[in-house]
Amino acid sequence: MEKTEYKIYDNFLDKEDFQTIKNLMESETFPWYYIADVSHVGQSERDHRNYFYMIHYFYDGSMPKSNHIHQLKPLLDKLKAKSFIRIKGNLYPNFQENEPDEPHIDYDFSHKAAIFYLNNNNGPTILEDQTEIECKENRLLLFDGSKPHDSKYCTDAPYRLNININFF
Amino acid sequence: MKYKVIDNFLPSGYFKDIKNILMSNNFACIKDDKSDLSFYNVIYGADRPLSNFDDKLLEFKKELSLTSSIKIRADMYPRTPKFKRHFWVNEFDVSHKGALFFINTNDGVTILETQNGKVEIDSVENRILIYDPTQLFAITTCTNQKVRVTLNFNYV
Repeated sequence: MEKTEYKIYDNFLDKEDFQTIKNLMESETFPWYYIADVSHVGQSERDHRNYFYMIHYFYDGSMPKSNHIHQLKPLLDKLKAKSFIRIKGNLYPNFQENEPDEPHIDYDFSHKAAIFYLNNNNGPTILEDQTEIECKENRLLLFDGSKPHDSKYCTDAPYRLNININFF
Repeated sequence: MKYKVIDNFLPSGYFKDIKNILMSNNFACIKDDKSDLSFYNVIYGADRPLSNFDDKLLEFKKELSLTSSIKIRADMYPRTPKFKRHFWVNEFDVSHKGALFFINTNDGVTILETQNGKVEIDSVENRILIYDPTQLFAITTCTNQKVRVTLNFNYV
């Protein structure tokens, strides 16, 4: 299999900027929304019954979707994006199971996908060539979001927390 | 502790509306820092509605003979591999009533302390448990559904 192209940037943000974003998304004022069906989880009866995750749209459909989007400014500025497609916060609970999901793509056209990891945990992102990217806080993973990828739920932290940014 | 369980508390259509809203991807939940991982939404508190969802509860409040809300809160507990117990503590020192309404059927239970010992109430959708909120009680997470969702009322 062809090697998947990707880049990893550790300590992507200044400590203070990182902590501000992490504190925001872990705070008791930040709204999360229940997603019953994890689209990239295999559609077996067992998976369909067992998994869910929580999301927060910062940006989608060519417009901001959250009053909190301005708090991502240090992160978004550093991406030097020409245009954003979607910016989404994800919180995946720890179900004490970390079997791999089914691979999925974010969009079917070539674009940049960034995953910004907000906490350390053992639920990796898995790229098309099966390279596993460890979830490490303040790490940014950059790859083509039209290429298949998947992830695992974590088992060693209360949840896996990240921001998924699709952009040009 | 005296308590009362009423099944099929709401008319089926109205119940489905309430359930669909609470379990939709449009209903905002806050992560609760006080527990392992759970989410909540305070619909009514501090003497005022804190969510537009309070409007949807008008008929519910009539069924409950609710004169005045003190607090209405939705809770969502993710499933856990084994049952985890969470103890609930009464927040209010005034005499009032408590009601726990079950949004989805799951194997989590609500545990009451009664004069005859502990009683476990099963989580059955559209069931309401009227309880004395001045007494301590506990709930468990579920293991057989994605989440356990309830609406809790403190009211007079």
